[in-house]
Amino acid sequence: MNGFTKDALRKQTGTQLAGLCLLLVAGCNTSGSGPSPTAGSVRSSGTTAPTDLQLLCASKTAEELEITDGNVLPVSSAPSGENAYQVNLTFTEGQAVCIIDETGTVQSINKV
Amino acid sequence: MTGMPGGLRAVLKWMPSAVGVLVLAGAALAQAFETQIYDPNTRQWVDYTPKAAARFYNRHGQSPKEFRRQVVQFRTAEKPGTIIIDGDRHFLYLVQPNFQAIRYGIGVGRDGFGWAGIVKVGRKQEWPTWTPPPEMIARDPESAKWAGGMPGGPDNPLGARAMYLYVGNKDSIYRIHGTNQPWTIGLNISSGCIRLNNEDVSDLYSRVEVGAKVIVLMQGAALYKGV
Repeated sequence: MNGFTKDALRKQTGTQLAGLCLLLVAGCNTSGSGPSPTAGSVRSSGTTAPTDLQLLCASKTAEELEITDGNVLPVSSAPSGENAYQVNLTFTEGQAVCIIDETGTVQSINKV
Repeated sequence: MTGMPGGLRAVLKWMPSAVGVLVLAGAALAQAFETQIYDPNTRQWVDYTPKAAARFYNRHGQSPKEFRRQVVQFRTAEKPGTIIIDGDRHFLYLVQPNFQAIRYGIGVGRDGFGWAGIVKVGRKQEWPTWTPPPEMIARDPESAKWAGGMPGGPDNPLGARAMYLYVGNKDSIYRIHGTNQPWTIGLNISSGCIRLNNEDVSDLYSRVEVGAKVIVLMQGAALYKGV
């Protein structure tokens, strides 16, 4: 190992240590689990499933239950477990409950 | 602004099946959701009231960022051109190709005036005439002077454009329209109509065709009979 390489190694180690220190300091200053909202951020007072997931549940339910009139309507939704939502649906001849995860995968559909 | 409790009479026709689902969903869901805004001074979420909305609009000249027109990812099997209204989040989506949608901020019906259902755009009108329905005149005698119709213009509550929502071939009395009160985007404030600011409603109007499917989602609201 020549002098140039040793010097470069010392510099690299120093940079890594400085980076580690910065991370530790940053870690001490972290007060929450996610990024803080900024001024003017808005949200809904209630938590519902994302709009597109509600509609995915509706279309999968129509497919699964062979509802052909296109009138499956999400009427309510709420978180179900950590990464999923329950979507309650109504259609001409009844109701159904659909569970869908955040990736858009339907986990279950049950007619009620 | 143009919707009215009389419209709820039509809604009630479908209530038996709606009641079953609402019971299933639980009574706690019957209350309409409202917008909250983050206050960086107190680090708290606070209610986005009409007063707070007017203050924000006066200070910034526009509504909060989330309510401004933008293209978003949208996973749906609905075809491009379909309108999806999420009354709980105060967003209207116009489905685009490739799993995208144009998202607009909206104002929706206040408590007791919200509704949900599947309808369609039956008619479109630029600078529409506003005619207060008899129920509105009964509630607000001030509106009686326009019983014969208020001509379209900047002071007209329907704003620059209106898309009339139909159930089959029948006018539902609800509309997607502009507004002369742009600060009300994000609020539960109308009599059941869906309002956008005039720039957004003009943009939507230019993209939407008569016959377009409109899906209205609103947690705990009465259901309108689907088309």
